Amino acid sequence: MSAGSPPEPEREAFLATGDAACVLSARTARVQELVRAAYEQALAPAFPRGLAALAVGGFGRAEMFPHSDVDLLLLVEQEPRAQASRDAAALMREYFLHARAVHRAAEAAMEASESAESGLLAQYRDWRSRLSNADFSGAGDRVYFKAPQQLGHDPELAFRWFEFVARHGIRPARDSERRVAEQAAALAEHCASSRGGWRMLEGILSLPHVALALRGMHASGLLRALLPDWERVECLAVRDFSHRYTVDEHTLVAIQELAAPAGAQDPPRQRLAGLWQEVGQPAVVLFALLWHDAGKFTGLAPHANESARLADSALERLQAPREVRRVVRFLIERHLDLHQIMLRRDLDDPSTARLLARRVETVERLKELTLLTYADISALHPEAMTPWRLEQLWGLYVLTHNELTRELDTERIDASATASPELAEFLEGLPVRYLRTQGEEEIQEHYRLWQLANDRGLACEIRKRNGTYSLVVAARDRPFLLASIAGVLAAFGMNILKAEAYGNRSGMVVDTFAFEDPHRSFSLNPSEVDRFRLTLERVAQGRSDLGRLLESRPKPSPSGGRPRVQPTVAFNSEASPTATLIEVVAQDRPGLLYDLASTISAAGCNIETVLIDTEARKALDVF
Amino acid sequence: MTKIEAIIQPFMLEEVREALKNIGIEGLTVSEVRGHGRQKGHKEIYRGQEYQVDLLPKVKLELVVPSSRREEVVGALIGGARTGKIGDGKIFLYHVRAAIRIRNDERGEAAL
Repeated sequence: MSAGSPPEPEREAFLATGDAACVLSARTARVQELVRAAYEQALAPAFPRGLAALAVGGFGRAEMFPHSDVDLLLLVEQEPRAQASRDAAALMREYFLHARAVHRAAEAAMEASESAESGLLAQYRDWRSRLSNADFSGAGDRVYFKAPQQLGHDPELAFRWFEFVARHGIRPARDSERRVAEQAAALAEHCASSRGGWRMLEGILSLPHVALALRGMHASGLLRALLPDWERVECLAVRDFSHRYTVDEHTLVAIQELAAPAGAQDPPRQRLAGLWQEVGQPAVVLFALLWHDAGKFTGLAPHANESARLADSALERLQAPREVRRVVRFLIERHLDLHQIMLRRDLDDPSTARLLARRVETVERLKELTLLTYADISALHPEAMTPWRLEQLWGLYVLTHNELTRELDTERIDASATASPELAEFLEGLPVRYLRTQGEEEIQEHYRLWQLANDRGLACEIRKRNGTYSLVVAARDRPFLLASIAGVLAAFGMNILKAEAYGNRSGMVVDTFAFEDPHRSFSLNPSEVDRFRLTLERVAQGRSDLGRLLESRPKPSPSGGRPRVQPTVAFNSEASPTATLIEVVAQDRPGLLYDLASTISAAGCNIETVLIDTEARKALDVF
Repeated sequence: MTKIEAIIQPFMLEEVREALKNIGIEGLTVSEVRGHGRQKGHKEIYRGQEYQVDLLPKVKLELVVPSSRREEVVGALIGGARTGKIGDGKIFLYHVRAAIRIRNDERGEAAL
């Protein structure tokens, strides 16, 4: 049902006479029909009397052109009840559902006309379509199912199709979207009964063209099949003058703003694009963004808690890990904080950064929340993210980032109230940041390793997770310990992505590393993991010569030329009464952490706390 | 009539609007601006690198009021915007020769 094309008799009359007036009045009549139906459905039950709807503007003059707005004036006899705004929202929802149908019909027509194109553009599009595979084929920069009938037997095919779209950035063909839409009921049934939905969705959300894929999943109804509560925000209009779009459109635009692969041009946006590259779990941030306004369907404010509840319920159904659920809940519940703080608090007042640092707790959460805020504001309307606001947001991020890194060492855990005396001994004196950055499961794991290390002097655990490895080492602290661990990783050719080190009151340390295995030594030769563990224990206890080990390590290929990142080293003696904070930014390379840590140790300094991160090829190290 | 232009701290905007509303002033124009007076800029350090921020974010309010209410409005603006710290902003007053409401051609104070 749509008002997209003129009815047949009027169309023929127009083609015969060239008189547009009859087409315009016919369009108006059809729109009126739709408005009447929506009125009967959404408003008449709530207002059996005392309400009038007047057609105004082009609609009132019966001159509706293809791009005309539908202007309606609603007059109420008495002061409307609180329910009235929700009734009006229901009417607007009907309107947007029809508007969307018109939009899609127009897109389908344009796609059909594109196929008739010829020339260089068409050749380029056909060249791109060479990315076809066994299931999908591309033509004219669109990707199609090769055998759409397979969707009936293999519902996962639809998800693989959108994964293909998200990976390669080729637009899904409308016809294929229609095929998916026809299978919506079967797909919903499949999603409800299948396990591991999170892993599949996470895969799509982690790919570069995720915004394009999500838009297609939304248009084809696949998103609703996978996440039934998504239906609540479809075409949902909210009475908020700062929002130009319906909630679903606002959400998709926000995701596009954040995850669009097109490079940002202006420096402030480039800084945020760089921050996006640093985020460890982009899929988690995008999932939070997908649900951040879902709670608006209630029509009640504030909506964040309801949005978080819906997101959590969706993640439970998708069987997402507990940590993912925790982060998503946090991001949604706090998604308005930065916007409110940057407009309502004095950023020059140190208490502002302290307040936000206490709320976000870690640098990672700060980055995620900053990006979510950027996307949310940018998607209000095209001019919403002014350079002024962008600067305010970045300023707040920088201040809070500095506050979080400054307090690396200053605040320590007082574990006297902890129920278990042994656990209290482990936690006592660790930086407060430890509790913020580690989940309950990680703390239990570290505690177990700490108990082992108390007997053996050192205990470690290596795990593979999402294509990278995590290494946790618990050991009695001694000079060059961090350098030794970093050196063994370098000797085995591993590339350190993140590292953190925490020391407690009794002189034990817990060092955590995330690293890549670029030569695939561990996966191709599993016994290498045991050899690594053994080597680590021997080196850390001074029973093996690290220098000799490093001489035989795989040599990095020479990159040639000057490093792309100009190295900087900053010392801050005022960050802590007992320690000096050293912040190093440099071109990342194998063995860098070993070189830095061994240089600091060789100077007779004790490394208390470490925060290592890498951003593309840039290493950001804080000691 | 007097045009009042006030440059204030962004985070004081709500308080100023509230103060103006309390004395019955509801019409105003708000712009996001950047600049500095005596406050100058400041240095910002991010990841060990120093950046000079020369122009500080501020909010500009513009409103035209009957001259008889000028001091009352200025008082409300000062009351709402003052923190006592450097950077609180400035207020400028201008004489307005005429005001015209475009919709119905009303003139003078009736158009405010």
